[in-house]
Amino acid sequence: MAPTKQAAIVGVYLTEQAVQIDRSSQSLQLEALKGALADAGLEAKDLDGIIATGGESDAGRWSRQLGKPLVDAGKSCMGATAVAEAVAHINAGLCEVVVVVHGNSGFRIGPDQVRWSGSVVPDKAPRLDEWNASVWGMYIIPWYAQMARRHMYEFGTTSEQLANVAVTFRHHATLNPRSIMGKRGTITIEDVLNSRMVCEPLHLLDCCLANHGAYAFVVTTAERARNLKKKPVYVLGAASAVWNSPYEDLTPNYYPSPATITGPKAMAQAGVTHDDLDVLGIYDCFTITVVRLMEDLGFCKLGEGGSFVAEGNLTLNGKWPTNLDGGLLSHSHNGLPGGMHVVEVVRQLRGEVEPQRQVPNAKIGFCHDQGFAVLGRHGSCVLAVD
Amino acid sequence: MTTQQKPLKPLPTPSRENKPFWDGLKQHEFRLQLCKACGSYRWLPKPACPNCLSEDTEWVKASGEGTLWTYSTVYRAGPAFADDIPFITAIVELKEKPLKCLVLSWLVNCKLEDVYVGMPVKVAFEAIPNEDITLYKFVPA
Ligand SMILES: [Zn+2]
Repeated sequence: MAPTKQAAIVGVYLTEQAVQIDRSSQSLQLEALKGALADAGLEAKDLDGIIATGGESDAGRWSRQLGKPLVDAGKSCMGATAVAEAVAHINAGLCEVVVVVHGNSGFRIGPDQVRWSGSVVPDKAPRLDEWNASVWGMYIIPWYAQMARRHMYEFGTTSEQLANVAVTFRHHATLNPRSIMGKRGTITIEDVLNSRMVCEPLHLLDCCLANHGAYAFVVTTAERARNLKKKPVYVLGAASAVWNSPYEDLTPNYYPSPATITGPKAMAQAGVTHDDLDVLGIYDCFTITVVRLMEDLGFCKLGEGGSFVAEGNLTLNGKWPTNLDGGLLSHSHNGLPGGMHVVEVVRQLRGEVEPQRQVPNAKIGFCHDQGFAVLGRHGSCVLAVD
Repeated sequence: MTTQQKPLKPLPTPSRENKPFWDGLKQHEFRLQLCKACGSYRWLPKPACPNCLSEDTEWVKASGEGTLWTYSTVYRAGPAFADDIPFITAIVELKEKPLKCLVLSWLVNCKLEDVYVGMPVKVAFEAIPNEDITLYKFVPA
């Protein structure tokens, strides 16, 4: 039995992605929203649902900007998670055309994220939520560094193995003229290991970028997709799950993560197995993230992620070409960047990226995003073209 | 009123619900919620037991002992932590069972080269000057 075409992604758009962009976040988001609609051959009047979160961007604000009520179709504003949310809303008949949009400028990821109000240094310590990990000087990198350390302890994973992820995605970035790091050329495992230690065991080049930029993509019914401008990229499966709160409460263990639920669910809906997948977009905020996700998504066994990536499986010519835009590590991490992987996989399946990084004859793609401390929130989707 | 040269480290805001925990720290006790229905300890504090969902809970003094489950040596941090670099963030697995209680804090009084996953540690207490709060850290046992 052929899998159901649950919905389709019909438009995608990326703005410029750069270390600094001298425009407001709203301006970047608006360009992305309009661009994704135009890519689909749709107009703002066709839109009736939105997934947008992050600071100044939410559904209510967008409804007033667009001058009409919209369905608030999700809160994740990530990639595959947002696909799952959009598909659920569309198939429930709550809306028909959903745009997922995110973008930011002037927002940095790192230890500076704990800000003190005003310009005056307080003489009393600022008070945070009861279990806010910033009390311990925590930010995103130490969380993932702790996961990497535990993985090394349990499974003997090495820094050299992790470095393979950064080396692979940097190579892909060099094939993508729009990537931020591609112009700096390829890197070696030694380059990663010799880069500055940020949070042991993660080096600078084990970490993603923190930059400006926006993306958007449009999801609608499979039926409507057939009459639009571009070749429809059908959603054959999509799932999401969450397993802790943002960066304060640890799961009782790092294993198994909710990826062990979302990956198999999305693939089962689609009626595919790993061997059917031609191209992947895997959330790569850190090298260790990819290693862990490949394990929990079943591309390899738990504990074997290090050797799996070191074997070259994720390279352009490997078994599962992954993040061919350069990923969050070398293309762009613009705040809530899960949708970047969706945009890239859609373009791969349409066959419209630069020839040097195009996976030949790609028919079925898979995207996975994650977030929270760590591997706490997940979405997976299977995308395909006829 | 004193003028600080750099930002002070942020502090948590104790909730009324978890007051027994924060009061315990001031008395140099690390308290855990113990489920009276099934006997499970839990961390972070939660309104109900994750094992049986009972709200019948007692705050008890925990051993304060455990092993280092994982850690990171941090070389880059915000301005309030600049003088502490490098510091060791630590996740400690407490002795209390059967649910795994993984507590995030710092490992202090330990040379960087001496840290290893699995090392025995115990809780230590740090009263914050000029503030009505005591925090918990870990030291080698
Ligand atoms: Zn219980």
